[in-house]
Order: sequence, then structure tokens, then C-alpha cells
Amino acid sequence: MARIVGGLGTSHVPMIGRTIAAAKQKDVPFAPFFEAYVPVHEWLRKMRPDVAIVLYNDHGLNFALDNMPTFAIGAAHHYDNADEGWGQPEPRRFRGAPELSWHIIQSLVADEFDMSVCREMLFDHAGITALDLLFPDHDVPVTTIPVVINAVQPPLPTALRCYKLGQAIGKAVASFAGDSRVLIVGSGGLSHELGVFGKINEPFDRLTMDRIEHDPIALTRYSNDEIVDLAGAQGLELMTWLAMRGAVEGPVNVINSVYHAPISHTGGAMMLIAPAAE
Amino acid sequence: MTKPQPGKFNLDAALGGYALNKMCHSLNRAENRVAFASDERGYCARYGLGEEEIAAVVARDKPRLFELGGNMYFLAKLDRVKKVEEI
Ligand SMILES: [Fe+2]
Repeated sequence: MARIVGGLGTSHVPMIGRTIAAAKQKDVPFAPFFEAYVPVHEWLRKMRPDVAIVLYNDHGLNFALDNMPTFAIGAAHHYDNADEGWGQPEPRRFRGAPELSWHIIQSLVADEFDMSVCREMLFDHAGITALDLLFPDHDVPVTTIPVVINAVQPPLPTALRCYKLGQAIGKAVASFAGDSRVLIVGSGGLSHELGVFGKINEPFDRLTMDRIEHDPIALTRYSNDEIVDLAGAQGLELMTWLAMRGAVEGPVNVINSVYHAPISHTGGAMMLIAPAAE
Repeated sequence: MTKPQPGKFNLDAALGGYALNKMCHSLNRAENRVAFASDERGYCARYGLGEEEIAAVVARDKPRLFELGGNMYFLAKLDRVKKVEEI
């Protein structure tokens, strides 16, 4: 039986990926953010997940306004990176897990989550940065299933809906006959607004991290507009953490976490949780 | 027109801005960034932008671009053109 071994929430600001690519993790002002990943890497070696379901928001790479799904999931054999406007990156290909994808898709649609199903999907930096943080040498030992939550064109799905999507993903994984060891990743946040410095709200971010651990339902009571007012427009990327927490339901242990602000113009955060029963 | 606030639904922004955002999205591709940089006005016109939008793009007038329905995720692509040229 497939099971979820843990959940990771993480920031994904592009500066993080560039720093890893340049192997400058020790030289940047936000080095403590990278140091906090050392226990995460130890945990990965011990727990050996073989699939990462990566919940993130596309940043205008794979999806544009001609067709903007609220929730989308990959069902491809592989996912490639692409130019997001900064210049053609070194080509990278990430292995998919199409059988598990289709199992999750069937389960989600039966549970009334009407997903957009993508047989091709360009992999946005939001997903790739999370994998780079987990596997900094770019050697990714897990297959990947990207799940995209619209954060581009409002109206965006509510916090409660994203949490429930995570719960439904958790349920789908638990009913998969293969014996995958699944890591759930929520990549986004925390407080920030694109192109604007000074939208970091550290007290709210710290409260959010505490709630993710102890009381995620409390976070689902915020309206999207309230989250924007508290945490900036891209504070809505918090939805990816909520979906992650929905998939890793029940009491959890925090393996490690860190809050470091600023990273670029964002409240930088990471939290790795594992089901308390593990 | 009500002033759009990033991250919140705004009907005027939702009704407008399509061509502007589509043009910005096209700047993901290197060859399009070159074409844009060599003739910003002509490039915008080919995407169907109006004169007001073109003027705001050329001036990189962010507040105005927001008012015209520009979406921050796509306007970010416009920022990157200049950065690419600087490299
Ligand atoms: Fe982001």
C-alpha cells in the first residue's frame, strides 16, 4: 500500500534556486534557511520517499489566461523546465509517476474535485525549487506529480477548498495498490507581493506556521482577500501549504522548520512534518 | 473603473488586460524577447494592444499597467526583458 511519509512546506523564490545552482548556500544572507535543510536531507536518506507530489502555483509558464484551471494535475511521463523569461535554463527533465497520477485523478474526480488533467506540463520554478532544496545536487531520486493551484487569475480557490483538496489527495494515495512512499510538498509563500518590498508580515507568518502544525482548520477561516491584506497578494501561495497539510492529516511531528525574513522580498519559511504515527 | 488590487478579483481587470497579459506571457520565449526589444511598439501592436496600453508598456508604467488589467505574474515577465538585455 502506498503511504505518505511526510509533508514539506517551503518558500520557492527564484533566488533560492539560483543560489543552489551556484553552490553559494553558505555565502548568502539567508544561509540559515539552507542550514535548516540539513536535517531534512538526513530525514530523506532515512525515509527514502520515492514519489513527491508537488503542490505549487504556476507563475505564468505553463498556463496563461487563455485557459487557467483552478486545480490541475500532471499525468505525464516526465516534466521539463523551461525559460520563464530569465533566459533559457540548463535543460532539466523530471520523471513523472503516471500510474499514480491516474489513480489520484480517478479518486479526486470521484470525490468531486474536477481536476484539469495535463498530459504535458512545463515545470515551473515553484516546483523545481522545492526539489532543488530537497536534492541540491540536482540528482532527483523521486518521481514527481505536479499539482497546480491557481494563484494567477482571481477568483482563486478558498483556503478550505485547498485544504480539502489535500485531504482528497491523501485519501487517494492511501488507496493506491502500489507500495509507494510519498512525500507531499507544498511550495509557496510565505508573506510577500511580487515586485513589492515591505509586504512581509513576520507575526502572521509565524502564526501561520504554528497553525499549520497544530490547527490548520483555523487557517481555512481566512477569506482570500483577508490573506491578501495580511500577507500580500502572493501570501495566497499559503494555499499550497494548506493543501500539503490536508494530505498529511492528523497529529504530526515537526522534523525541522525555519523562518528567515527576508529571502529576496519574501518571508522565507520551511517546515517538514511527518505523521505522528510514523 | 475601480482600482484593481493585486490578488483580489476586479471585474474591470478581468474584462480587460487580456491582450496585454498575453503579450507579456509571450516574453517567456527568448526569440520573442529579442523581437520585443527591437521594436516594442510594433510587437505590442501585433498582440492587439491599444495605444494607451502600448504607451504604458514602453514607459514601464507599472501602476498604469495594473489599472489597464495587467496581471502581476505576467507583468513580471516584462521586468525580465530589461534584465536579460543587461546581462
Ligand atoms: Fe511564487
